[in-house]
Amino acid sequence: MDEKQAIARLKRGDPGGLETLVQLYQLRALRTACLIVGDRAQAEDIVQSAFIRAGEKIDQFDSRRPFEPWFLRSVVHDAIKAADRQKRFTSLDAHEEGEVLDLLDPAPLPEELVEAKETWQAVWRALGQLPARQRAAIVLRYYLEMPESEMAAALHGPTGTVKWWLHAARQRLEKLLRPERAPEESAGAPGAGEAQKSGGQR
Amino acid sequence: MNEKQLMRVMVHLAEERVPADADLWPAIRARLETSKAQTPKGDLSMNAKTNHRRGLRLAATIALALLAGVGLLLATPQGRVWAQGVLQFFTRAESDTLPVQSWQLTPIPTAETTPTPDPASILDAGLTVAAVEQQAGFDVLEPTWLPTVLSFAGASLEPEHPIARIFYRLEDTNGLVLREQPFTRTEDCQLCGEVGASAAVETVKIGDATGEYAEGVWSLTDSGPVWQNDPYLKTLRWQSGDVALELQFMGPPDAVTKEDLIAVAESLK
Repeated sequence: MDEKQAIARLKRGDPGGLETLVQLYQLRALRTACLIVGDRAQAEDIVQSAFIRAGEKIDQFDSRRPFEPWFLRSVVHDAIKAADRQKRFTSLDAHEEGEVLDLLDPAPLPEELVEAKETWQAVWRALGQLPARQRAAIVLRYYLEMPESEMAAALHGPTGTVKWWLHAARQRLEKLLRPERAPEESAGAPGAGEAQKSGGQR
Repeated sequence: MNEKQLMRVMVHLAEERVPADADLWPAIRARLETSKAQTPKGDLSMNAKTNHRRGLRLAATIALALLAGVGLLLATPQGRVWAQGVLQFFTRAESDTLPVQSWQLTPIPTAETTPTPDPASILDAGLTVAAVEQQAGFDVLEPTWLPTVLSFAGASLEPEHPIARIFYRLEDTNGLVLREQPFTRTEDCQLCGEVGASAAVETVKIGDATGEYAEGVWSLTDSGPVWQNDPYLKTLRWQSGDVALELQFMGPPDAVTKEDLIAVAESLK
């Protein structure tokens, strides 16, 4: 059964249609939610609920459009709300800080480092330090590879705002992943805001 | 690390955290069975459409009753005075939802499309205030006081209306935008946009002038914009001479307060 048949069945009230949609889209949805909330169990709960809600609201879905973007928007929305509640999913403790790498230098990283688990873990920890909307912007752009216009729809914001979130997220990631700078270089950053509230990089 | 490498790392992370053998269907089916046991029809919740439709009918009835009430109110002279007097700089929509906007249906640009600079985006705001003022042909006011968390990021001009924008960045995320637009007829005021029917719009004093303050944002959904009363986005609007002014802050609610926005507005020179 393909997506259109599944949706038609679901619109007739047949949950078998939902099973097909789950099989087709659960993996990307689950991975997206997990990257945003940082917790597999919570991500599963979010995606399960999103599928059930999609089934209940399938009458509102325009069958001429693809299902996945519509569904992923709902998953991303719920994941951001959940991540907002938990603020951040990991903390950089003292001995983890020493492991940060200069990962977002625009110059390509040596291939062996890209494939190294230490690199993945450093990015994972840095992601956990971002505010939820910025983290979602990174996930949408670099995992789902969404263009900014689609990101705007998924993040419920104007394109300009979403560009801003992505830009801010990249800047923040860069700071989190950069080797520690000399104290006089990092101490002068003005302001408090979300950077300090969510823990900052120090 | 370049962007392509970051993409690969994100895929690695996703695959590491959620292996390909994940299967949510048994849990979803169990949840559907549970809700089936709890519904009087004993049907799987996919067929909760009936209840959903009943809810929709009820909501539609309430909405129609409210609209009829508002219509009756507006039919009276007192009602019209009330409607015009309540808001000056914000326009209140009839509800918290709007139809799908035409621009939402615009096809997504392909990768080959050369993006045009967006004057509403801080990323494309590369001008100085002096340069904007020179191009705009009107006096562009600037704050002489700002909360210390904000720093100047750039300015831009949308020449068609014209609207000058000055952007102030909050450390790492979000920030403040000052928009200024000369106008002579209310219908030309691009800054006097709508808020949702449920928005709490507060009248505030800005020096000798009166302004309006609201918190909230139109969220985009597939069925059109939906108003959300969200303190993450604060807007202050007022008028100085023939110029409509707007300060809009997006960011953590405590970082810049309503009082800060009023102080910024009072400091404009």
